[in-house]
Formats: sequence, structure tokens, C-alpha cells
Amino acid sequence: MEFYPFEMHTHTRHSDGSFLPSSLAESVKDEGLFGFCLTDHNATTGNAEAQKASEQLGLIFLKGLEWTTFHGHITVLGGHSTSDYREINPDTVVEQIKKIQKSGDIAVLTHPCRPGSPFCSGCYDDFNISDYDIFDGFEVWSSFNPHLNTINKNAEAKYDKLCEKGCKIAVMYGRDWHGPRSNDQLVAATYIGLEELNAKSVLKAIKERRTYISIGVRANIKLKDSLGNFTDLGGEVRAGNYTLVCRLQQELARFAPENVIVEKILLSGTALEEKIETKVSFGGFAKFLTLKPGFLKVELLGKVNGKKATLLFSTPFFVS
Amino acid sequence: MEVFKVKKTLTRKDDKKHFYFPFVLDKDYFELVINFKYFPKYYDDKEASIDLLCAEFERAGVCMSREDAIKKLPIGNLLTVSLDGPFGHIGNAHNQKNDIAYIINKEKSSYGFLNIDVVKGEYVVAVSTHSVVTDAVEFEVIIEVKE
Repeated sequence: MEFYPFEMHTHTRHSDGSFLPSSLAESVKDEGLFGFCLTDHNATTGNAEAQKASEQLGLIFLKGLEWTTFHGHITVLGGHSTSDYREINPDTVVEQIKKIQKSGDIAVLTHPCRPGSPFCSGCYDDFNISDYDIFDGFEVWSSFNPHLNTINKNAEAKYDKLCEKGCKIAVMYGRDWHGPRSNDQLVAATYIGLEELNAKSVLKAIKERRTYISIGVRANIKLKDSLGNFTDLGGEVRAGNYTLVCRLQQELARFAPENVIVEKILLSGTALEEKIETKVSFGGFAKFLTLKPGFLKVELLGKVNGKKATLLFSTPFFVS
Repeated sequence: MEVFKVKKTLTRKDDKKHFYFPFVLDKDYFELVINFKYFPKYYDDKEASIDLLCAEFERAGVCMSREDAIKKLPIGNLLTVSLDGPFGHIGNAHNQKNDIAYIINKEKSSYGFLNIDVVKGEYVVAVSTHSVVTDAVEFEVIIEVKE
């Protein structure tokens, strides 16, 4: 299973972005991403142009939109459903998510910890949902320079707490791409483990939580059991002995920063007796682990342009 | 030709609400235009704006100094407009513009709106108050049609 970089949170002139849908697709191609989802605020009218341009450029494209409500934002990925954002509020949101999921779409809670009104229209998650497992994805990192953003640290902590409660949700990054960026605006990507290179496979992979988010590192991370069977990120395994196997490469596509140094791998979560922090560099890495019921999260720590950063944050392995 | 007009003054109590205004087209037209404007756009009380920003960042668990808050000024009102017609949802304009005309026709509608035939029947224009930070904000919607 290979993981490919995507951007799943984008905007065009069909809401408040500056790109035409076709120019957004060209930028996605230029940056070396494999594909994207168009998620204009409460609008789907740019999807047809973006799809046509993506087909011409050889990109994987997903139709979508962002429910931009007064109580929080949720991207709906897939383009199979219809909905009315004006009807979405804390009382109806779970029912509305179930409706779009029944159509084959998926729901990602976006920038849940970003301050909202009056700075931004309802960005902060005020849905007060009791069971976050309703979401397929959780935007742990958002915006430019995600590795330096305090708001993302709060989102990481919120995501960890959800995992501790037993939630199983794919981690996502969202550039929240509204237009061209400057050289000092660094970006990450959501890496998605695909069985096939098409939109249907992207949706399936996110539903099955085969994701990690990273700034500057392309990785392949698996758990290997005693019989030699491999489990991908987001997968479920039984308690027992495993070997964590990682292949780490610097991301060389244009969207990624050039000056990236990997220093440590941090293994954490309730599946371990205690956190494990070990020195690593680009290349291969393997670690024998005894896992108990809970979750096992993988992070890579290092530097981007000389500044300390979390380089990679994975969807955990879930241990029963 | 103007077929519908509504003008309304809102206060902070009207923040985060949808206001729906039905109107009827008695025959088919070539084009429909939504003229939408609201004023003021920005909140001119600097100190109150800083207080609002700092309070929201504190709620989100992020420490923000008044100096950092000043960099994010001005804050403003955000009202958006959407349209439904005889065959369902026609579109939505989610952007920061506060004085703009949106065109709906079969060939090339404004961004955010479907290309559709403007047929006779019942329509609903909605104004949504994503953010009302000033003491009062006045909006106006004028619907025009062209043969």
C-alpha cells in the first residue's frame, strides 16, 4: 500500500478564494500533489470546471463543499449528496452527516480549534457533538506553517483525547487553500493510502483511516505481526507483539519544504505502557512493540528550516 | 425591472440567523439579478474590536496579546445571500463583498450560482448573518429581472 499526498480543503472564486477552479487544479499539479477536493463554502458550482481541468492534468479529483455554518465547519467529500447548510446546527448536524454518508460521501471536521466569530465565520467547533466517531476525518492541522501553529497543537490534544475515549477518525491536514502562497508560507499534505489511483479509492481510504499528515516527510508505516502479516495506519489489530516497520523519505515534491531534518520518532498512546522516543533519520526503521488494548500513534520530530517541529502525525493503529 | 425589495436593520441580537424572503415571478425571464448590500462592513470601535478578538482567542485556548490583536483589525460584519427557486437550491454567495450584484441566467451565472432558466414560480432569497459585530447593520436586497 502506497501513501500519496493530497490537499482536501480548497476554495475558489465560487466562494471566497481567488483561484478559478481550473487554475486551482493547475496549482495542485504544479506543486506535485496527486489530487485534491474542491470544498467551496456552501457551494458546489465550481466542481464541474475543476473536474474537467483535473482530468486533463491527470489529477485525482473529488467533488465537495464545506458546510460553513454558524457553529463550525465540516467538509463533505465525494459529491454524491445534496444538502442545505442553512439547516445544519447542533441539533441537526449528526442526522445531516448520516444522510451524506448514506449517499457515499464522507465528513471531515475542519479546523475545530481555530477561533471563530468575529475573526472568522463560525470556524471553532461549537457543535458540541457527544460522539465524534460520526466524523470520518478530523483536521488536526490547518493553514500555512502548520508545524508552528499553536491552534494546531490544541487540535492535536483534542484528537488525542478523542482517541483515548475510543474514537477512530482519520487525521487530515487542510491548507484551507484560498489563493497563491508566499515563500514563507510552508504547507503539509494529507497522505492517503490508496488501493487504486482514483477518487473512489480516496474516499474508501479515508473511511478506513489510512492517513497521516506530514510536512516534508513521505512515509510508509506498518505493523507486522509474528506471522508476517502487515497492517496499515488506521487499521485494527489484537493486543500482542508486533514490529513497527517504517520507511522514511524526504518529500521532494514542490509543495514540501526543502530543509527538513528528521531527528526522532515518538510512539505514544494508550496501547503502550509508556511513550517511546528514539533517534531516527531518513531510511528504514523497525521497533519491536508489545501492544495492549488502546491506540498507538506515530509522530516524527525534527526541524524545518532550522525550527523544531512535529514533521508527521499519524492516524493511530487501534488495538483491541 | 424590479420585482422584489427588502430593507432591514439588524442588531447584534440578530447574529447567526437566517432571514428568508419569498417572492414570485409571474412569468419566465432571461435573467435574474440579486442586488445585495449591507453597511457598515467594518467595526470602527478599535478597543471593542480588540476585546472581542482577545475574548474569542482566549475561549479557543490561544493566548493573544493586544498588540497581536491589533494586527488582525479591522473586524467586520459578514452577511451572505442565497437563493432557492421552483426546482430547488440555486446557489449561495459566501464572500466578504458587501455591495454586489449576482446574476442568474442559463448561460453564465455569477460564481456560486447554478446556470438555470429563470422560470416563473416561487423563489426565496435568504440573508444569513454569519457575523454581526457592529451595534447595527442595515442590509438591502433588490431582485431585478430582465426579459
